[in-house]
Amino acid sequence: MDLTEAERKGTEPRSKAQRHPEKVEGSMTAEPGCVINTVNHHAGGSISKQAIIEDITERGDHERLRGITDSAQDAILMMDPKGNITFWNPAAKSILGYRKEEAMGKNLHQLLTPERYLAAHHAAFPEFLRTGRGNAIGKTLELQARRKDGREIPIELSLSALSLDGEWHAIGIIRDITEGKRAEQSLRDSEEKFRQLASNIREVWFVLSPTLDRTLYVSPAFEQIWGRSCDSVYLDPLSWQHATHPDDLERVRSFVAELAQGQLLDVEYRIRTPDQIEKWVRSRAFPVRDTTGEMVRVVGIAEEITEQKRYQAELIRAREGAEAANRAKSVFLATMSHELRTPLNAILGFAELLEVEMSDRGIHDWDMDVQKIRRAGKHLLDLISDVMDLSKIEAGRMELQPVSFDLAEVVLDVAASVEALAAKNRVQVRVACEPARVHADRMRLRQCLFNLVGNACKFTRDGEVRIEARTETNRDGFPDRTGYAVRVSDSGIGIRAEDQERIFGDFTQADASTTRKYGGTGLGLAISRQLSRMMGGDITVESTPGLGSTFTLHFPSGVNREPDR
Amino acid sequence: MARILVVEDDADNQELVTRFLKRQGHEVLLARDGLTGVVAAEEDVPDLILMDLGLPVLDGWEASRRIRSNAATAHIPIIALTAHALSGDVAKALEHGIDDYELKPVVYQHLMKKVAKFVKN
Repeated sequence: MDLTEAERKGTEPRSKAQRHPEKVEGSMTAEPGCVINTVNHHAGGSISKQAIIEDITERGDHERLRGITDSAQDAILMMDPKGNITFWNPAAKSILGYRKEEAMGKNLHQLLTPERYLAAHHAAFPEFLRTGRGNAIGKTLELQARRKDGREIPIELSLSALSLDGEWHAIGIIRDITEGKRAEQSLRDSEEKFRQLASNIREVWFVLSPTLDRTLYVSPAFEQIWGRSCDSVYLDPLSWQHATHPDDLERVRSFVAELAQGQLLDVEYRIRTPDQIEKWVRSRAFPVRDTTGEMVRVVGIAEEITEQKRYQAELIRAREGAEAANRAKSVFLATMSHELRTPLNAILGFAELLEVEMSDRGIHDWDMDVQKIRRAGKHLLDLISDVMDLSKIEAGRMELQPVSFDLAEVVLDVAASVEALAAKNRVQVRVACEPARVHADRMRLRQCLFNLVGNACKFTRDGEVRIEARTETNRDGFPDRTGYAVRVSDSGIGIRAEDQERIFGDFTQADASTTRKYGGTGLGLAISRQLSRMMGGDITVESTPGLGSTFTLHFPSGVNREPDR
Repeated sequence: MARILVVEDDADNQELVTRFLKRQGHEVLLARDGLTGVVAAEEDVPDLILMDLGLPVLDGWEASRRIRSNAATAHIPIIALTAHALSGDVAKALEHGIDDYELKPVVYQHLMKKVAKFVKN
């Protein structure tokens, strides 16, 4: 441009060129030294100078260019027609290891190309020098470069040709792609692992487009379960519908519609293979979302559950059978109980009548025999009642009828009802109980207490039975951690530690011979404990053989239940 | 002594109650079902009624309720005989106007004490 003219006009905004007129006092070719002295200094070739500065018209541009090459992350280098290095930026040093002064003027191929590629380079070089063309020119290639330390690194090389004074120079930009290669490799490894997993697992993995109209991936197990090729679902992602049992299709469709709306899918349904084998499968799928919450794909797993279904059905059948049997047992027991009681009532009644009428006539010869009939009959009745209670509890048909009452009243009533037995065994029954309003099934609570106190009297001779009732606080399992504990202690025969849990089982007394010696059905404790647990409490035992036993009935106070009317 | 109506369907039980009551010197009237019991109560107006609860035609609860709601028989005391001590029958019986109850299996000497108490009044 004609600066002097521009300045004369004085109308044009001042350009950089105008601000630094001394730098454009001559063409680049005419005055190269002032612009490219750094290149000149290192490369020492006037042709190189010309090449680099072709478009540089002033020092500011040169500095900017230098700034660019200095700060570039990629190595930028240049090769003259002799094959020698004429430009080397700082990144070239960090990537390739050679300092600038080590690299400048050296043969580029000798310096950086691994031995095995040298022949190819040498073969291509003359053609390049002649025409400026070559396989690599104008392209980006992935190659290996040898660093100063001898280590080869993967690089990406962008090569261009530059003609200066009729000779061809090459400019190379080299990027170290070690990290990229590593990431690529680990991605490949991870994909390989996934593929191995997906191919070897019995479950089917699948990946679908968010709209469910494209199958992105389906694992080979699909072919085993569905009996159809994976390709069939790539070609027609809705082809699963043909394989689904017609009776289940609507249900599955509605689940799939929900999945498309972003819901999780978990559905069990039947499929038919092409050869009409029916199978149960379970499919689970969920949407995968990007950071903005957008559904990007749907990932799922499908498995065959035919065996589980069969097993489940068997279990249900077995359970239904067991329940029916149990119902039948309950009905049978209820009927039997009535049928057994009626004649027994007659036996007991007539034995009593016989006793009093003989007594009326002054006949006492058979009093003992009649007593035995009555005792045996009574025992049989007790057994029937206990079996009935137990079967009711086990069938879940025992219903508690909680009412409000005074615990002390029940305790005293129980103590009174064992008077005869206590007197017979010369046992003193002591009661310590304050009046206490409780809410529980009075009849069942009495039954439990009667059992414990009756046992205490039964297994004690010439001793003492104490009944103490007190509030109990801080007991786990009680609604408000408070309730009552009724302790029944005796000075009787005691129970060995190993028998202390067993005696709560059905038809067990600590020793089979005790039934004969002490009587009882052997069901009392089992029933009492179950009843106490139904009330939300329990029965616990402490005992020392020879010294006596303490049974404690714990039950929640029920103060939080509905108030009395 | 007293005229007592026994409403009971089981023959053995009828005989037992009858013989124990007669032994105490009472006169016994018998009815085999609830409805007959209600009619007998009205016609004979006994001093006491022993009522089984599980009766044919009309059960013991309903029979008791009818006897209570009839002005001619409302005053007659009723003792129920029941095998169902635990199932709420007692409470139900008391609601239907029964004065007392005796659990089966009946210990007759015990029942006789109860009868004596009501007949004396």
